[in-house]
Amino acid sequence: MFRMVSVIFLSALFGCDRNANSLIPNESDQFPAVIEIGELEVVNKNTLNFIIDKQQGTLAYIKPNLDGDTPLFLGDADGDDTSPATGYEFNDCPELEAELNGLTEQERYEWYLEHGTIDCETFKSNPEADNNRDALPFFYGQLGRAPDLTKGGATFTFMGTGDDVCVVLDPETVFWNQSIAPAGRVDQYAYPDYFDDDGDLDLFGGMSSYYTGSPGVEIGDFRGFYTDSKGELIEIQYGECNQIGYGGVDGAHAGRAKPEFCTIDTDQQEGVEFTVVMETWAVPLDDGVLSFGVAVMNERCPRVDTSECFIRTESLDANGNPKECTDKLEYAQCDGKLASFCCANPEMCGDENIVDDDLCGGLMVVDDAPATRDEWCEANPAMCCETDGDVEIEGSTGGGGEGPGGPF
Amino acid sequence: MKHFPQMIGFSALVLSGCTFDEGLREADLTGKIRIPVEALTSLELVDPDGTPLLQDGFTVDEEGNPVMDATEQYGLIGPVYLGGFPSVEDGHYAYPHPEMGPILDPDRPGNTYPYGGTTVGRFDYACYEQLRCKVVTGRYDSFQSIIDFFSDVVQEPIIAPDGTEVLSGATYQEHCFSTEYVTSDDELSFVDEDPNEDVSPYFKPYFKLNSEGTHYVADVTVPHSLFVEDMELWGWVDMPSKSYSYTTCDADAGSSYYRYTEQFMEGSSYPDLLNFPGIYIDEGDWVAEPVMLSDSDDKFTIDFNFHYEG
Repeated sequence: MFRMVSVIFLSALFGCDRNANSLIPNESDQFPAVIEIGELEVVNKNTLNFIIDKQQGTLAYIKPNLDGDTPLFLGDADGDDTSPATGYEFNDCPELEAELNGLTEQERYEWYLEHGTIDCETFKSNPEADNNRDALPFFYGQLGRAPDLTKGGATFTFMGTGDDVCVVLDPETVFWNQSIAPAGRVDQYAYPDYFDDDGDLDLFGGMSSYYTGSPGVEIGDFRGFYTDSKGELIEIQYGECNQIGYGGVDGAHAGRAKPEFCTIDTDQQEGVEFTVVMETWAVPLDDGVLSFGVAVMNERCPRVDTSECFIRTESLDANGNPKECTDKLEYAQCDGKLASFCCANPEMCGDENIVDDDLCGGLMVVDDAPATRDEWCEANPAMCCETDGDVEIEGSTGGGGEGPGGPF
Repeated sequence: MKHFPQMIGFSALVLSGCTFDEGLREADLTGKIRIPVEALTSLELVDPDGTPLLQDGFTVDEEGNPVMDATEQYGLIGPVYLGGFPSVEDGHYAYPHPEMGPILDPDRPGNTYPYGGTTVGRFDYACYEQLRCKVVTGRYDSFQSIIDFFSDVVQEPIIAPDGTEVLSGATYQEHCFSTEYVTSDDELSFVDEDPNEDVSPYFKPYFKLNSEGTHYVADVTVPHSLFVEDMELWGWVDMPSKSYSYTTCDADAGSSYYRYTEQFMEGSSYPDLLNFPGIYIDEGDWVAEPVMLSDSDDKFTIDFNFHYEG
């Protein structure tokens, strides 16, 4: 008996030569684990289109790095005799055209923070007024790892509109499971992802009066308690940001790097303050900082773009600037060309040694003929990291139907 | 014999587990429910033109003359919902109703947060689309009895997918066996030829008219209910409307049926009946007088005497 126990004990000791410390990011001395953002506006997509100078009525998107150099013209000053005006235009509002003509994206954003409206009549009634209490139209932020045994995350508030709103959150960066099936391989996902740049935030929301946390100090929840007449304590869930998962499961959350979104019905609650909690679930291992983007739209989520292409370039470096080439990684994901992108830019993706030998050769083609990387990049400039210029991505709505996990 | 002391010790250890009190607060609550015979004698069914089919406890002909005594047509008794609650109060509705928690949704009453509950009979898909949300377990002892009930009482004969009327129990059984992929009546919940089989402590959901002819009586167990001293049992019977439909069944819920050209949902009861009973109790239902339980071993009798007339 003693011999058997000794053998087991010694065997176990020799197995204890590893630990999981490498899977735990270091605490950040630059970014706190818990932050309070303030108030976000329940924003109309045309407000976002205005800031980035995109046509009215089109699907909007947001980005952290607004252009501060290029003046944007409106009305007759935009376009010339041979081409129509592009970008955002005001219909029959010379006052706003005069006010905003020539501003850059960054200046438009700052102007909007000061005035809080692009509605013509509202602006004309008082051109100097702040119409939205300095609420932000969207937010990009960064979180450090929470200390052991505590929760980390970010919170913000918004005001109920009396109608449905959609909260959309996108943690960095882009994640997919590698398709390794020898038969029926899905080529788009056949190149492995680089996991260490991906984080995860879980989305919760409800009326501020039911929130149990301390904004900026401690992450709480929306659980309340009711005591019945027999003294039994009953937990009540006051959270209103419910995501439906696979199989119709309530209270689901999306996986790493995937956008999370929920529709909150603020019927009968116009002017009531709501709190949104973005709870840290996983911090990226590459830098120990979880960056994200978030916005609140004034429509139900099925009518909002909830793909990776709505909140763009949420992966930020220590200076708050988008990490290089993550915009094109997102573009590749939205456009269904992840594997092509990874073949051209292996430094943005996972271990190239586990890629099937035939994958990249079959994808690096131009006009149906095999091409070198340079030839392929010349034909697909938006897919190669070293090329300049913004990528043109078309987002898509209908994000309410597939569950937060999304298809793989 | 060498290890006899060890065997004794081991046996003692095992046996001690059989008497160990885990201190769980949940208990099986057992008793009887009684529904007055007036529940059937006051029930009315009419055809789509408004012509009476059932009144005063009898099926009637076109002239209104009684044809068949319906007081033992248990298919007319819908599911009985029974729950345990902290208390039952008057004043919220026109009938006694459990106390409710805070109103979280302006369109819904407060949740009753029941401690536990059960049903005596539940909706079950009885192999034909026509019978969705119309067949309750514990009401029929044969396929033929279902055929006769819908033909003679409800006067909506069962029609097979090929358009022919289902006339024999054998045909019905064969249809069930082939569409539900079963090989025995035991695999079907809505028909039971042995209603009095002892399956205590969980009783079969069968009613029987008492010898006095005054009440339908059934044994019931509320399984694994949280027991709180002086909690109250309460419930109601979902009685069919004049067009023989039930308010507690959702025809768009339940399992999906997909066979050749037939595609529909099989129907199922709503999931929150005991949480929001006020939403589902409607005209014609019979509501219980609450019974207080001081001990989980008390054998209760609960009477569903209050006829909610709307």
